[in-house]
Amino acid sequence: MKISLNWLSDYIETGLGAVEIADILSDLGFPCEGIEYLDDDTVIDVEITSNRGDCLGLLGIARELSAVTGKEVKMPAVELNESAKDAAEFTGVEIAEPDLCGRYTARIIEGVKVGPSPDWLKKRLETLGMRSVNNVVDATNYAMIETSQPPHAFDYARIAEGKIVVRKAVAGERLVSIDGSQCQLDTDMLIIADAKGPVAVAGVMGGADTEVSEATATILLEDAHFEPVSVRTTSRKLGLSSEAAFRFERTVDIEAIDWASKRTAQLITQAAGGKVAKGVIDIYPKKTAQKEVTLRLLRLSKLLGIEIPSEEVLRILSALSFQPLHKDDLIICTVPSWRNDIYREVDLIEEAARVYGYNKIPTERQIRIEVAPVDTRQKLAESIGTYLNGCGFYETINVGFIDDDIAELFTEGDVKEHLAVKDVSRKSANILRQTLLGSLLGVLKTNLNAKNTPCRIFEIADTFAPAGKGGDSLPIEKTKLSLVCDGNFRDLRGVVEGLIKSIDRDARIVFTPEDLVWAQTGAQIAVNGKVVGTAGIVSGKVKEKFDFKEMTPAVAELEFEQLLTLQGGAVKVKPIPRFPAIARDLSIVVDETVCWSDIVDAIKKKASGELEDIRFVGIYRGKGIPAGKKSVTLSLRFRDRDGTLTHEAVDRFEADIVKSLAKSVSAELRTV
Amino acid sequence: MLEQFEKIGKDALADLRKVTDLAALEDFRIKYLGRKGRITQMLSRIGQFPPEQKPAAGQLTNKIKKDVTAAFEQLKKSLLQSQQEKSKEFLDVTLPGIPPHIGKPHVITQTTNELLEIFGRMGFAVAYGPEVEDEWHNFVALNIGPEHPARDPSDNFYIDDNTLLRSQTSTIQIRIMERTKPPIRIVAPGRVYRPDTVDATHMYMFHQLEALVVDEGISMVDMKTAIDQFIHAFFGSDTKWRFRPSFFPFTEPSAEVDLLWVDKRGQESWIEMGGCGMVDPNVFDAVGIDSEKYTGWAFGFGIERLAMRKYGITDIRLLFENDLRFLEQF
Repeated sequence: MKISLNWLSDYIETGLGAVEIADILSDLGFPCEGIEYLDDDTVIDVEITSNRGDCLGLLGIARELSAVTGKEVKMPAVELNESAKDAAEFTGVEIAEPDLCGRYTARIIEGVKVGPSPDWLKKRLETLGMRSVNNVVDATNYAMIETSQPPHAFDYARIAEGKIVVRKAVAGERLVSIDGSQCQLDTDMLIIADAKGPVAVAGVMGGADTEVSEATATILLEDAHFEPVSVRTTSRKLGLSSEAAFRFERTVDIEAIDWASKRTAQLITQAAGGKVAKGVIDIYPKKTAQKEVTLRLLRLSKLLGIEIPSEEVLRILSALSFQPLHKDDLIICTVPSWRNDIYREVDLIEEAARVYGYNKIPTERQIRIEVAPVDTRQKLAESIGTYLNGCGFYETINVGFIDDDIAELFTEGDVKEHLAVKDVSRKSANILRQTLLGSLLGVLKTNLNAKNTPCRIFEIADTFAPAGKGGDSLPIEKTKLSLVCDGNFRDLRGVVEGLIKSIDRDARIVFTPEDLVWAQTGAQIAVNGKVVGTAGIVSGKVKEKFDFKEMTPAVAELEFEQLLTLQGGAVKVKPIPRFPAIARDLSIVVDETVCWSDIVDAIKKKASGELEDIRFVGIYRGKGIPAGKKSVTLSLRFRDRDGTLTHEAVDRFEADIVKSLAKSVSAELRTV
Repeated sequence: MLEQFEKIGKDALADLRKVTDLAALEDFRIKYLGRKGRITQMLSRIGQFPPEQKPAAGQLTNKIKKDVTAAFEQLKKSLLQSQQEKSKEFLDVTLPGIPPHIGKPHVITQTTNELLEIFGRMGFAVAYGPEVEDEWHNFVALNIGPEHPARDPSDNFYIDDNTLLRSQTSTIQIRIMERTKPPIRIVAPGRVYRPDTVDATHMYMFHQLEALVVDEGISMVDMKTAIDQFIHAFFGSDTKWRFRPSFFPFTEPSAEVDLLWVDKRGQESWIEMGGCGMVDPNVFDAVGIDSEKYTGWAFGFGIERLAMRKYGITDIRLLFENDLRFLEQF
């Protein structure tokens, strides 16, 4: 809301400079967004919160300033020199939707001469950056800036049968608005109609056909109250915004409508001549009752934590036109009609505090405190982050949306079963992701393009899936931890294993081969017998989509909730072995399809208790190894906790293992 | 014969003086001190002396052996030392170190953790809530009536008529108050979504953090004191800030928290940090808490804006592009 200080001084003389006024308004809850110094005026731009429609006019601003400065508000004197002809002879008003139109007034002004505005009018509007249209339209805009009530002037001659109906549009009705927009009206939209059809979109914009022009001689002046939600919905639907709609959306003062109409008629005759017909058509179906609200002074001091002297509270409420009556601990207030935002005691407490000054509320030296419990979720996320950072993984944060074609790569069923936001401003990427992998692969690609290698990244975030059938439960939200890197699978697996062991040092982690829709080779990850996630290297299709050329990303995705259930347990310290171990390296030739886990199972089957560790050393293929076979080298470590092992004993253990390997996986010892 | 012994001794010391490297020293050792060396053999020749000369010969032999051995050892030591010095490589300590490959937490996570840590010290427990919410938790219970502009479908990411991506973390307040009896003292971080057109300062997803206190006898002085302590812990104890009246449907009285920001050139300006206020009685009614008995306050703000200002980030999009060259700077 732009405030011209010259104009404002018509309503209040504060004797203060622009900066002081801006500071007062800011402290009252209207922060200053800029001060513009002109040759002979100063314009302050302040923000008006959506609950204060009454301050979208200079009179409202003057009332606020008056409460702080004690200076009086000067209301413009309204006197109409009415003609003998009765307005009722010209027009009639019918409100078909009293819920959407609380009050409608119509006045008639005959004999206006439409033309350029007089200088005083033009100048005031132009100072605020408003374009001068003609003297009638400018007069209505002037009235709106003054009263915050937006009037509308129709060319009376263009209103069929001179009658106004406030109704909902009928399907198929159209209107060309003043700005030239073709409005396709629907049956939820409130319109102003004449005997033939729509002449204005109620509270939003008038129609071009009934617009005031040089040919206009008689004016039908509308001043009304329209229901805010209806105005906003219609304005959004039609893509039409206006100063008027902005004010109706924030509720206008229903009681002041007739006064505002008179004031506008006066301004029109001042600017464009003419005579105001006698009286007004004023349809006001349900008169709003005056609200009475009681304030307990004790409650005020309890909520604010300070005592404001009762005289001061009374002074403030009185200055804000609440007509306070003091009775014991109570202050009984009558809410002025322009304060739609005030209906409870707490609202009055805010009024008192706001004008008294929030900055007079003191701070103490200490707060009351009770030790808060450690949040396991927060702590786990932080320790996972720390671990992964140490492994070279950067944390990333990605938006929760993903494109259809990316989601499809990770979906077995129909991609349409994803949750999606109703398309508003976004043309693509409106699907809520069920995996973080798509986003992370995109980030990997961006970084590879920039030659940021090595690139190891992760994210912890929620994924979304539709709720189960029945009931009105919310969608299923699962927090996932996903890792993506440009390294090889075993590196990634090592990181995942280390990560899980950092949470539960005794965790049994098993990777099992698994067909995954996005993986060239995939695995399921189980911890202590429970599936916690998947891992793998991405498929050719995924590589193609993201245009990964030589490199095949390795990825893993874990269920955060599952990780939360892992318990570290108490540390049980094991003694450091006192007797030496004996290690034996074995190279065995097996079929290509034999997995490491098969080999380990075969070894464990026949291993003596002295077998302490099985370590993978390497795989060899090539010279000396038949096609379709591979040579696997592994190292076995034996130890007797209670004594020194003999080589002869270990020979026996080893022989048993070799026999078991031969039996279970048809392994042959490779002689080097 | 004794003269012969003395000569051997003199020869040996003379030879030793000519030795300049370890190889020659080894030759010397073999010639004089080895198993068949001239000095070693002197011992076996003592028997050839007449009995009366034997003690003198023995003493002389021992002396010569001792002297030569001592000189030999000393020379060996110094030769070894000089050889080691020669073979030592030049270590250039001015060469750059080999950097370990480590990652970093995202700057938003770093900021969030820092905030949670401070609130944790102030006795606030952490709380979370779902990102997809119903209208009840996102609007109705927060006293955001159908007439409020924030309800407009085009200002929210609706999934269906009743479900939307939360537009604020205040939803968590409602969930906590619905299931917890006062006293309540929580801090709730999270992602929020609004369909803003993306530019340098707007993103359709960002993070907020919200604190909530509900107890008997909580006043605006308590709110102001807690916010004061938080701001001083996070921004520094000399940070100036102020309350400015504002409007939020879920608090009454409501205030905007402004910080006096001093930029690099020393310019001061008030910047909006976040909103706060005393929990609105309608909110207490919605969650079934007696608003006569209990009062409370809430304080919420955007984390991106805070981080961007703190680190001088001028484009919010950088935060979500995740370019490692950006992420590694924090």
